[in-house]
Amino acid sequence: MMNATYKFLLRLGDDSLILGQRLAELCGHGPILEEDIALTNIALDLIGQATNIYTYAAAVEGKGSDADALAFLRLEHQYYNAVLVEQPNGNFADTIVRQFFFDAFRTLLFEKLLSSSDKQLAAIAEKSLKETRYHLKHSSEWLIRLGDGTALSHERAQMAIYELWRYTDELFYMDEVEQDLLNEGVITDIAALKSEWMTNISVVLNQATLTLPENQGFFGAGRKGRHSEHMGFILAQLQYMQRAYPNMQW
Amino acid sequence: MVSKEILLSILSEVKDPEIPVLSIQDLGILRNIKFADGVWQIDITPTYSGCPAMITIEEEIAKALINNGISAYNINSQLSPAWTTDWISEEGKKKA
Repeated sequence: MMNATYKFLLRLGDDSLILGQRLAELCGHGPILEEDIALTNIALDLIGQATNIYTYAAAVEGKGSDADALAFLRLEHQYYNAVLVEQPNGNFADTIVRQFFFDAFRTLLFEKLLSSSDKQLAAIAEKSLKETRYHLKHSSEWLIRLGDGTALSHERAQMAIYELWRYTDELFYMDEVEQDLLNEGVITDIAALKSEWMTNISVVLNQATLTLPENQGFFGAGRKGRHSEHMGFILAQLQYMQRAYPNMQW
Repeated sequence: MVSKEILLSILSEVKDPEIPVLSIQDLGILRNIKFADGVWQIDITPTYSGCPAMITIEEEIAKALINNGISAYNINSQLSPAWTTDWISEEGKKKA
């Protein structure tokens, strides 16, 4: 069986990598120059965080793997990111809502991981938290502007919330991997973060005059390696160079 | 064996590839150096997680050391405490 720390690090790192890859698709395609730069810098932060997390995961696994191999050479079912982060960029409201749900979660998670008994995980959380808080400010401010903006921007933001809400519960997923690490003091109770997350996002949503759907079911098994149809396409682009030219370097 | 002062002066030649008037010491990217068990331990830190200059900086450090005949060294990337602009030295602030 896979070491619990290793598996958790993959879940954490895969969220960063896949969302970073998604945002990187916007390079040169942002709605305005300022946002093009902002979104691709957030992509860079996420890919940098993934590098730190994978480097540590490879050391924990102890089989001579490295960050590049973990990023580029796994198969689809061996990635454990939440299905939320692989959803398409869609329109600008879709991108911002996806980011907002994720940033609000990540900020809480990294705040708790600062006190991890695992010193390297705590160090990664400390470094990442500074960036993630900034990302959350960015996505929150945009969400308020879209929701409380024009009739069209409001409608698009509201539709994005209805579309993406179903994927949010998976962020708080825990199984025996997280349970083991919780018992050892390595991680916090991730499921228990949901109430604080709800409180935090509600403040912004109220200001944005946006509402959450009621009685909608949740979906997503990415933490078990089962993904939406989008994942294969992301990997096709992400892995292309290493698959076409194995072991190439530049 | 070179002294710590000499090593620091060698490393002062390593510049930030994006702002080449500033050295890695000026920016606080160079955290610590110490000599232990015959090896120079050099700790550096990224300004942000995705900093693409880190690999270049490591290569430049290695090059500077090898050019000065130092082959026993180890470069570690240290994430904590996380870098902030407070790590920029007084000299660095003047140059910037």
